[in-house]
Amino acid sequence: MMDQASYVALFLTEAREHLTTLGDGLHRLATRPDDLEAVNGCFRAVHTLKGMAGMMGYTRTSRMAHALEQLLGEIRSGAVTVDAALVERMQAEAEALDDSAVDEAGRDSPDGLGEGAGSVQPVPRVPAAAPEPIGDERALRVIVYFDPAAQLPAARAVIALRHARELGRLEAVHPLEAELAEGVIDGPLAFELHTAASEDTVQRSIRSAGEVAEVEIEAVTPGEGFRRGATVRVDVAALDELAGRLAGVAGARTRIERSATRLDDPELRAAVAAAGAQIAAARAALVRLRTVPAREVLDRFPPLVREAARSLGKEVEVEIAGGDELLDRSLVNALGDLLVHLLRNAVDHGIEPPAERERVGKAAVGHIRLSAARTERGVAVRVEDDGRGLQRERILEFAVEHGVVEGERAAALSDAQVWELVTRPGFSTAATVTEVSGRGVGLDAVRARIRALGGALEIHSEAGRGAAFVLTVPAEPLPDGRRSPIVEPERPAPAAPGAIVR
Amino acid sequence: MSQSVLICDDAIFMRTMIGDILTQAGFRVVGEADNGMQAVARYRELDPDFVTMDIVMPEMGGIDAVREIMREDPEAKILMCSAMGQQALVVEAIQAGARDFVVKPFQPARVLEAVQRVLG
Repeated sequence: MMDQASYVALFLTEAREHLTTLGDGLHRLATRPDDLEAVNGCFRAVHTLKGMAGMMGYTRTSRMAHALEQLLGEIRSGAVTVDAALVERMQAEAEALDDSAVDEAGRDSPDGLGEGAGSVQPVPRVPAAAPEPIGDERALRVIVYFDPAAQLPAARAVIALRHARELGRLEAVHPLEAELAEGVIDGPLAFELHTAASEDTVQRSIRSAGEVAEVEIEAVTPGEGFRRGATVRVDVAALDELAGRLAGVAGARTRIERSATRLDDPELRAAVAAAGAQIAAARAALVRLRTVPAREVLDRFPPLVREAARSLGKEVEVEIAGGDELLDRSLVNALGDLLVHLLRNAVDHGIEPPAERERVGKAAVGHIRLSAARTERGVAVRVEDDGRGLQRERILEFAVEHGVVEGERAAALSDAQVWELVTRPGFSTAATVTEVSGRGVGLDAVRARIRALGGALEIHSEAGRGAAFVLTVPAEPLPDGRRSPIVEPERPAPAAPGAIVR
Repeated sequence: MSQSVLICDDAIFMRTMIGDILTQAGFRVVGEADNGMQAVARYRELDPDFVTMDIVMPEMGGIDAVREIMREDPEAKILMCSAMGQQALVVEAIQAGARDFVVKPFQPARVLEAVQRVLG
């Protein structure tokens, strides 16, 4: 494992690259406002930066990147037109983003990473006297009461939301806009508005939505159950309980439905159907609460991998796939640690030095693919490289030497059985303990860790073509909050050709 | 000079009524359209200060017309004219960029309030 200081240094290096891309792109936009390629470049840069900052727990940076990403997204979709003032504003935001990244990275302490498994998003580290990058943005709790004579209150609420959005960022909107679209609103509209605008401005803007009877605005300060960034740390057990209770409610609903069918009361049946829809929505919300897109884990690695390769005189390109796949939030930190190890192994032991690659007719630049995909058993996170593959003879030699396998049985072992050997405690086939691998936990630790998480490790390899290490983790908690453990096959199937990167 | 309006509705009766309300309040009706396609074309041609848009019209509906007009002119000011029971459609129109709405049957005071909000 790398230590925290190295993570921070790498974060800064990579952040600098993306900020440069962003700066260049904005510069281009200043002279050519219709340069879509520049917009796309900026968008990708802030998107990646957002993911990286999120991974490091730098919530302020991540939030600022998110705001800029949204604006760029709107430009990209044509909803917002670029003019000089907008470019200037974005340049100011980019500068603030830069400051924030440096500031948060500088503040970072070596014990801050890797802990907090089982939390719902990192709790923002709110420094007491942090300089506010965008105006003096703060959170306002806003409650909007509509005129009782309002004809289409839900449509009115959507207009109010749009007005609010022009002033800042919305969170905790109730009812949800999707519900409003279905005409659902049976009380006031409530949301949290993160804005630098004055309460007066907010009041006026929301009232201008029309048919508003009253607007209550209250500044919310951290510590009142609401924090900047609107994230709270939650015990996973509490979420599990919630999921369990929800399953109970769903069961009760089924029984009511049966009675409703028997009684043949249309009103009751409609009510049961409505309850069903609410339960389904609550389940989906719970899943969102418990999951995070895989990209938030995966996107952090390319710089680590490139840096590790560079220190070994190798060149590696990293491909990321399946970033939209949802991962259980409580597994994310642990999974990240394991991936660091597998990726470093791939760079260190898998990918050959450029000269050796060319000698065997491969491209000098190695290829590592890091992907997430849903399978029947959960989500499979794969680390695939096009390096030399595991070396059967050397593994067996070592195993026999250390009495793990009897000499005469060695030849009869299947490939899969041999690959399993490298996950035995204390096993290592590296000829030299390099700077990179020397600090790593062995594959035995990877396997133990993934099993403890209810997951599994599978290895595929083909000599000279590459190796694939597959971590399968449970997709998401079952509706009742439990997870189904993933059982590794007793005898792993022989390496599937499709699993190897060509 | 008074502000100009383009009125889009497939019913002549509704166009006349809205036109009367707006004219009496001092607005200039510069054009009319009886379907969405025509609404988009006339908007392009007349560049009015604001538009009233019926939701259900033949050929191209009001919501699609809003999308099209907003795409061409993100600053367009559009007021939706809706029947009762069209809340979902009104929400869709607002999400597409319409600024406000009035509900039939029209009361002149409500229409003019909505126009003020649209222009505001």
